[in-house]
This record gives sequence, structure tokens and C-alpha cells, in this order.
Amino acid sequence: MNPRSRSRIRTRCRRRSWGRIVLSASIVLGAALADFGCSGDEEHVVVYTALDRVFSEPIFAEFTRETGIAVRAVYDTESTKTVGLANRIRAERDRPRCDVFWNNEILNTLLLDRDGLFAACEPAPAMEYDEKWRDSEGHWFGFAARARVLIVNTNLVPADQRPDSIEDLTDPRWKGRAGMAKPLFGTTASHVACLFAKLGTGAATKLLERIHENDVRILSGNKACAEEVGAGRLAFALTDTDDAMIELDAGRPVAIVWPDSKPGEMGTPVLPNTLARIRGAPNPEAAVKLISFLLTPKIEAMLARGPSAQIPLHRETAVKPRIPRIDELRPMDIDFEEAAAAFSKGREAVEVLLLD
Amino acid sequence: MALLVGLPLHLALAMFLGALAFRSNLQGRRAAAAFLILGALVPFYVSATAWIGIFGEGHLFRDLIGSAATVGLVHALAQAPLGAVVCGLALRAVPRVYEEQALIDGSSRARAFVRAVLPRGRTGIFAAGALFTLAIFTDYTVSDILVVRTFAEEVYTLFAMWGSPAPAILAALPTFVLLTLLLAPLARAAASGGWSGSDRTGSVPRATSVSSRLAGAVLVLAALLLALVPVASLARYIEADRGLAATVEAFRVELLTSSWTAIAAGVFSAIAAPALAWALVRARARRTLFLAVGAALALPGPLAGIGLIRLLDHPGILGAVYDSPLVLVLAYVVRFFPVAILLVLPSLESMPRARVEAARIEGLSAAGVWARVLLPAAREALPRAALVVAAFAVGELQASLLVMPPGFDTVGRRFFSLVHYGLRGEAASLCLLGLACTLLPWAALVAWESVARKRTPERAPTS
Repeated sequence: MNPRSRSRIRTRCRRRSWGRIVLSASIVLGAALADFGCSGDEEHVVVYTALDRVFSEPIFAEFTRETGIAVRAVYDTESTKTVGLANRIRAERDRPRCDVFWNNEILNTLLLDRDGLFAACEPAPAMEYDEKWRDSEGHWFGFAARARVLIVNTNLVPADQRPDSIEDLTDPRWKGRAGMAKPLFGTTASHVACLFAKLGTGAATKLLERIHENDVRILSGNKACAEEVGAGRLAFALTDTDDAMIELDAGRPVAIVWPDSKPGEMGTPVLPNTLARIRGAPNPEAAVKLISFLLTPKIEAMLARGPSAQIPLHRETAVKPRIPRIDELRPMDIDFEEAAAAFSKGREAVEVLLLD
Repeated sequence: MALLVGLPLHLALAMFLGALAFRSNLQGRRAAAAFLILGALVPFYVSATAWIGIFGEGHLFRDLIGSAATVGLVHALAQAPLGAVVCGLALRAVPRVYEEQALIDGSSRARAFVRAVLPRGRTGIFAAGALFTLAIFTDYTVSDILVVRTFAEEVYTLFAMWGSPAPAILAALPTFVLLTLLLAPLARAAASGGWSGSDRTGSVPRATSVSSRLAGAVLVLAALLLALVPVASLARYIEADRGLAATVEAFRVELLTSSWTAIAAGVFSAIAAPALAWALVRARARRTLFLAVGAALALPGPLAGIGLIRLLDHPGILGAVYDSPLVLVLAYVVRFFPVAILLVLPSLESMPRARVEAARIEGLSAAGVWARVLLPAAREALPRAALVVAAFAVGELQASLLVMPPGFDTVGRRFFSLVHYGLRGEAASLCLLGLACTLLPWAALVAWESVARKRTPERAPTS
């Protein structure tokens, strides 16, 4: 065979090989786009949720079953819970993609509201919640709360020596043996914001300094705090009721203490999940339907019965919760708006505690 | 501290295993090399989580040597297969004639290796060290589990706190510059082709003595333990009450999303890489371009995600891309395109430039030169580049977390979340399924290459 023919054959083979590669790439991309395109046509609602997929996905599935509206969720990770989602909502403000923001705490909801990112709505079930758990202008709605508690290792700490106040984080007898989550995210940040509002900036900053001087371990999240106590590596830690309940349910030697709950004390912070409709979002009707669905007693009952053991706030939620009901607790009397304002001022003090 | 503890251990393991598996004449070295390559493909967060589990959440070591040092130890072990492959390939490419000369001059085998081979394989050793350093700085999966703050987590934390990229960028800048300066020489070394291919000028007879066979068996066992035991250890967490089909269905979204976005990113990177790689080979501003490749490698994942949000979240076609899983493909391409360039560079470096000039003289446009000269020249490297990028993409978390489109989820994000909630059985099932998705294309490539090698006669070695 002459060299020219060989060269022509080689060129044809090469073209076929590249043709196959390009065809394969096109098929892969086409399938992907088709997969997206098909689901893009059905009625749907986009929710950014801080409640982990394990807990929220069954609820979304129930909503889809009842209404036929598909739920497209975006979840976050444990370590930077909520704030990542909140900042995505901010970044997308000129072209909102999220319809509903389901936050598992309240601080970032209030900060977003201040930035004018929410639209008002009037879901019917919201009227059956106490006024303190919803915004007067209909921008956000609280439901299914968690309390900020101390989880104590019962093998390391005798019953008569258990800490019972947030101040015990500064007690030298617990130096290096207590823990809390990063006070920049999630319910820990909300808790710190409540302290700033309740105690005042000066006293709250002093408290944080004493916590820092007492070598309180700062961990990645509330779950890590609960696990460290459950495993006996910490004597006690500040965490949420759901993370504490998971350790209890797993049979670890722990007990839950409701801090500052005696008469005359400041009370235990109770922090609701919050829902808000995003201003300018593409699916407003579906958003209101989802918010209404989530505020029903049925959903609160699901969250109360589930592993997260959330505290129902709806007047008619009839379920025997695995932890005390809201009317059996001494919740901290707090103005959440004031707490959000106070946190913005106290953030630097919090950063010093985190970075040092 | 993580670097001080982890880097020496990592390099020692990498050089030792790489030399034995890729350059020695021990029986079983091919099996060891195969295990190491498999281990290198396992997503980093999987290996790392498995090692942390083996050490009992790292607490023994954390109590003894501190959290940061435990991070270094976990990184060293989790990345050892990749480091061994990188070192091994570089050492394999060193011509045997240098070693033989040293032996003739009276050196012992060990001395000949240390004096004649190791210095010439320094590119691979440097590459293994640079990749390890990059991982220590830019990963936050291990450090998050072990509660140690790192550079990458700091960047994400600052963005999350302040809602603006400016503080995150400022905080990232010094380390970013340092990493760029570290990685730019890596890009330059890759261009020289000094760490790919193999030396075919001298073949060494396989060792047959009893001690050599024993050493070979130990080598295979070490490679198997290092590469696969951590992953196999996840199997103990799997809850057998749910069958395979149900498990696959439960994770369908994650497996599908991760698989096709990773493959798409790999194919795109491989097809586009030759053009930029050729620019590196030809450009007069080579140093600047190598710095650019180093910078791209050093870019923290969170900043890549932030940049994509700012770039794409606009009305029109950009917004359509942002709302679709294509944004994940872009995130992976941004992060791993430099890897594809480095893998393709050696093929183009060895291609005669006259070929391109002849194509230009014949009237081919730039696109024509790319399609008919550059792509064919790099055709052996392209499938490997595509699959390496795809394997890295399956393990990516930092950038994809920030741009995840609604209704989709990836193996990495879901795995990380399940581990945090202590759902180890679910996490283990997911990770083993994800691993199967990563390894199947590689198995296909290896089979195809061995068939192609049998059909193609051995080419004469070139000096």
C-alpha cells in the first residue's frame, strides 16, 4: 500500500475515533440536560433548608403526595449550617432562585429580613401560633422549636454536681472539660445573640471572655459536642435538644439539664425553626402552599415524634413529645429582633473567642 | 503542625512503595502497582474517614500528639497511594543505564538507587510533596471531622460570616501565593515529561530468590492494606437489611449527579486541555503560564464556588446554566482543568513542532490544528486525563457545596452529611456505591489499553 493511502486511512480512523468521543460527550451532556429539562416543566417549589435531608426529605415527600408540587431542595452541611444558605440567598437577590427558606434557627432569618429579602404572606395556620413565634408583618414564621440545653455525662459528673447554668462554662472546676459549638453559626450563634440582648453587650462579652479563659473546647457543631460528652471525652457541653436526644436514644450515659430554669433565673433559650418566602422568587403560590403545609400540627407532630424531638409550638399539636412541652418549660423571655441587632454589634467579640 | 507530621511520613511511604511497585524486579510488583492505582482513585474523603474510623476517631493520636498532627497522619495515610503512584511513575522513567553504571562502579544496589535513581526522579517526589501540601491546605473534610481549622475552612467561614468574598479573599491571599509558587515548578516539571512513560532501554529479570519472593509478597500486602483496607473497613458499618437495589434507589440522585457531572467535566477537560497545554509548550511567557497553572491548582474550592455564583447568577443563558447541574460541571472544570493540562503536557512536549508548522503552512486554522494535530498527538493521554479529572470530581466538595442546584445532590455532600449525623451504615453504602461508579470506567480503560497494547508492536526506544 502506498504511503498516501496509508495516510488517508489513518486520517479516516482518527476522524472516526474523535467522532466517537464527541458523540459520547454529546450523549452524556444531552442526557443530563434532558434529565434536568424534564423535571424543569413540572410545578415545583425551591426550598433552601437548614434541616438536614434525613429529617426534611420525608416531609417534602408528604407535601408532594398531597399537593402534586415537586420540592427541589438545597441542603447545607453541619459545620456551617444555615449561614452558607443565607449567603446564597443574599448573593442571588437580584435573581432569586429560592422560593422558601427553612431555617432551623432564627438569627439568620432575622438578618435576612433586615436586608429586605423576604416577602410577606399570610398562611392560615400561622394565626394559631403565639404572636411571639411569628413576625408581625408576615415575613417569617416560627414552628417546631429546639431548646439550648446542657448535656452532661453521668459517669463523669455525679447527679448532685451537675452544672445547671450557662455560667458553669466559666467555672474553674470544669476547666478544659466543657464544650460548645462555634458561636458563629446555627443555634449557638442565636443563643449568643439572645445573651447579648438579655445581659447587654458588656456583660455578654465578659461572659464570652471567661468562657474562653476557662478553656472551653470549641467544636465544629452541636452534634460534635453531644458526641464528645456521650463518649466521655467532655464532662458536659452546650448543645441542642435534638442532638442531646440522639445520644440519649443511643443509650449513652448522658442527661439533659435545662439551664437557668429555676425561678428568678434568665430561662432556657427556646429557638424555633423559621420559614420565610423569598421576595421576587419564581414560584410564590407554591411557596405559600409549602409554608402553610409546614406550619400544620401534622408536621410539628412528625418533627416531635422523630429523632430530632422538636418542641411543638402550635396550640393544637396533639402529640406526646419526648421532651417537655413548651408550657412545661421556663423559656428565656427574649425579643428576637433585639437579639439580632445585638449580635451584629457583638460579632467581633465572638470572633475573638473563635479565633483565639 | 499537620504538614510537619504528615509530609515526611507521606513522602517516606510514597517513595518506598513507589520504588518497589514501579521500578523493582520483585514478583508481585504489578499487583502492588494495581492496588496503589486503585487506592489513588478512591475519593479522599472516603479514605480519610475510613482511617479516622480505624484509629477510633483519631482520639488515641489526638490525645498523644494533638489534633493538627492527627490531621497530618490521616492525610499521609489517605494520600499514600496517590503519592506512591506519582513517585513510582517518575522513578520508572529514569533510564536504567545510570543505575547499571553505578553498579559497575562498585556501588551496592541500594547506594546505586539512592545516588543514581532518586535524584533523577526528584520531579515525582516533588510532585507528591506538592500535592500533599495542597491537600493539607485546601481540604476541610478531615479537619472538620477532627475539629481542626484549616486554610480552606477559614475561607469558607469568612465568606459565610460576612456574606462578601472580600474578607475571604484577603485571608486566602498569602497562602494562595505560597501555594502558587510551590506548584508552578510542578507544572514546569510536568512539561519536561520527566515523570511519565517508562524506561524501555533495559529490562531487568524478575527476582526469583526466596527472599525476593517474600519481599514481593510483603509489598503486595502493604499496597493492599494501604489502598483498600480503609475502604473495606467501611463495609462493617453496612446494614444488611436493605438490599442492593433498594440502596441504589435510595441514592439514585447522588450517584447519577456525581457520575455524569464528573464524566462530563473529565471529557471537557481532556478535549480542551491540549490547546492550553500546547500554549504552555510554545509560549515565550512560559514562566507566567506555569504560574497561572500553579495558581489554578492552588485556588481554594470555596473561592471557586463564590466566583461561579458571581459570574453565572444573572438572567438569560448564564442563569439557566447556574440553575442546572452544568454549574457543577463548571465547578469541577475550574478546579481540575490544570490537572488535565499537566497530564497532557508530556505528550505534546515530545511532539515535533514541525508538525504544527506544517499544518499551518497547509492552511489549517487554529481549530484545525487543535483537532487534527494536537488531539491526535495527545490521544493516549486524553482518556487518562479525562478519568483522573472525573475521579477527582467525584471527591470534590468545597466548590460544589456552594453552587449545588436545587433538586440535586452529590455523593460527596451526602456522604459528609451522613457521617456528621452518625449514619455510618448509610454513609458506608453510599461511599462503596460511589467507588464502584469511579472504578468501572477505569477498569474499562485498563482493559482497552491492554488490548490496544497487545495489538500494537512495541516501538523502538528513543533517547
